[in-house]
Amino acid sequence: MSEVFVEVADLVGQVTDLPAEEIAADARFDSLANWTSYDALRLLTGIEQKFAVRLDLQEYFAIKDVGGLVAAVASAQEKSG
Amino acid sequence: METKEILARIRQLTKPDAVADPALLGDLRHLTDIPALLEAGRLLGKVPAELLGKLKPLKVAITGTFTASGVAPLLRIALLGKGIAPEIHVSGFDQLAVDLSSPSSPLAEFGPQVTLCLLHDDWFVPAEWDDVEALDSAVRGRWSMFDTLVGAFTERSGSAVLVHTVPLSPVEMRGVVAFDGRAALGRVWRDLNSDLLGMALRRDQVHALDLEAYLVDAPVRLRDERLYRFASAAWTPEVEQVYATEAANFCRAFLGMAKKVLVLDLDNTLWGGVVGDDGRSGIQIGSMYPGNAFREVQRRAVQLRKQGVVLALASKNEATIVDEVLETHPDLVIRPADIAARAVNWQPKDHNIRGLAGQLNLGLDSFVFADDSTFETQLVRGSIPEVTVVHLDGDPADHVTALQRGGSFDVLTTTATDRERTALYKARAERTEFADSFSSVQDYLRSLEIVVTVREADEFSLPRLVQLGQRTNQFNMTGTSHPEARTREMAASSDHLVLVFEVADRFGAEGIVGGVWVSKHDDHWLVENFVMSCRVFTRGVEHTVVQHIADRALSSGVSRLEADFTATDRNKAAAAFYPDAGFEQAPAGRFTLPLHPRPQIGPEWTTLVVERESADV
Repeated sequence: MSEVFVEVADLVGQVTDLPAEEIAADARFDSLANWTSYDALRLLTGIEQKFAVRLDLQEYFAIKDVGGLVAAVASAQEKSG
Repeated sequence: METKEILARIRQLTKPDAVADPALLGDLRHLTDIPALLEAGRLLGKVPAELLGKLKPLKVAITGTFTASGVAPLLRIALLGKGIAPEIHVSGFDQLAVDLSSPSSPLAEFGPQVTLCLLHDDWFVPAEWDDVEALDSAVRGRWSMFDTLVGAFTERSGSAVLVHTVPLSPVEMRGVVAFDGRAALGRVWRDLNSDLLGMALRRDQVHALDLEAYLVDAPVRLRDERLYRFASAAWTPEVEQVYATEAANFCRAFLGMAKKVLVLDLDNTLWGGVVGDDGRSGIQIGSMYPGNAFREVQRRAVQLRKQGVVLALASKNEATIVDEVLETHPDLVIRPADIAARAVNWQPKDHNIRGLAGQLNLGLDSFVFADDSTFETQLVRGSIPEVTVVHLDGDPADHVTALQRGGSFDVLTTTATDRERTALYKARAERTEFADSFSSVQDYLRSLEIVVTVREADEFSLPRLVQLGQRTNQFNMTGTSHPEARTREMAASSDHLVLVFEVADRFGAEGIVGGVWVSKHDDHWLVENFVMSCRVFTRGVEHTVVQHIADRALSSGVSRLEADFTATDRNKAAAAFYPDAGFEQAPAGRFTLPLHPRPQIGPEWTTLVVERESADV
């Protein structure tokens, strides 16, 4: 499990009130309990702060699952690093 | 403390069978990053207030012209940290006009005590504008509508309203290419903000927060264009945090919970240096850096006094020296008349602050305590959690900012009686005496894990010891110091012993803080002098060192330890030490301590480490 995945799962857990251990890479956002576009924005703010990256909003909203978000963060980190 | 741990504790409190966690609110100050604050604030909205401690309730409504989803959770955290349990109503997107005008709006039905109106630039600026005059009249029209709505709302609802100045987006400003045009636009905008501020001066129940001025002090961007276009969020989370912090200060002022007393340390807080050691003329205060930084601290403290804040002193010092400096030092701004009560002595500061609260007859929850020392600030924070503690670490030029940033003394308005408050409390303080009951400082000292390391002076430590001897006047048993040559001679001789000692605790290491000059005689050892920096005084360090010397003398076969003492006008603090350690007064300024049975001098809360000991022959 990558470090980025652990941190992303933590943030997803914070936003959804689910235990981070229960969040798998293939967990789809639209199947998480109480997932709304407002939660998606909260998660975006959290991710951008935590990793000091800026994600493309359109790409972000196209991401389907946690693994996809981890990949997007990693690639944004590469660009900025 | 870990963010995750704090969030888990809050989550625990949201469960139906949760047990109260009164320590949680104090620990919230460890949360610093905004996503964590947002989550904590959101979760705390589900926690019943009685699980968090004794808090004052407040009904707050938030309405506005844009989406500011972070303000409610951030405001909740900030209010809980100030002892206020808010019930928060958040209106939907752009409901401001409906909320303020309709008597049956959900906001009106909520019945808030305080209503926060969040405004953004595009609500005032028309979608299309070509010349500045047209813009001016459109902006004025909007403002006048807002002013009327607010006026009618306060009359109908009885709620206080907080408006704020509105920063202009750089997109709008840079949209005008002519410098003249930008100047005209800037002026229209400042007129709007001036009118918004004016509402607070014109209407009793309306108050204003000068957001534009607070943002000057914060390294933040006004808005994230993506989130503005996608979700109509006109503020970044960082701006939401600045607003929530200041709005919480307003709410505290609204409830009359502003702090009333500022307790100040002296050495390295109101002036640079240690007056007991450096002398009246040696302290840093005046027109040059760093003296001017300390002068600014004094100036701002006096400014607070003039607005009704009661000033008090808590300092480990000789009272007579401090009295003289306060009365006669030409560069001081603060004077005895500014100070309502003083605790200048060698007692623990938490004890002294309780004493000041008794003297002034004011609750400890109205106290702010500012000190440069980690030791003192942690002691007070642990011993009296109600007191707001400001740790003035770092550059003295930043002390004023640290004192002001918390907004602890913010009130809605000041009156003529505020200016006379010091005289009132001064009289009150003079009538009351200190209550002498104290035990918890030992628990604190135990928790510090103090380690005293003693070793014989060597090439590296000797210069520092000599310097310390020359500089130290307060904890100096003879008021003079052994010159460097004599110290070297003694260190090299087997008939003498020169020791240095260091102190460390869980906050960090102090380095070499003292030394002892000993001569060995046939039936006794004589402590010729003992000096120690008063930074570490009253923690049992000196007792630990003397215990070590007594034990070492005992094992070399002598029967008693003697010590010289000469009283000076500076070393009163040290005068009590030898009698306190069990020495008896002998003729000619000497103290003596029999070594049979082995005397117990050192406290149980320190650990002694002895390095590089040579044999005593």
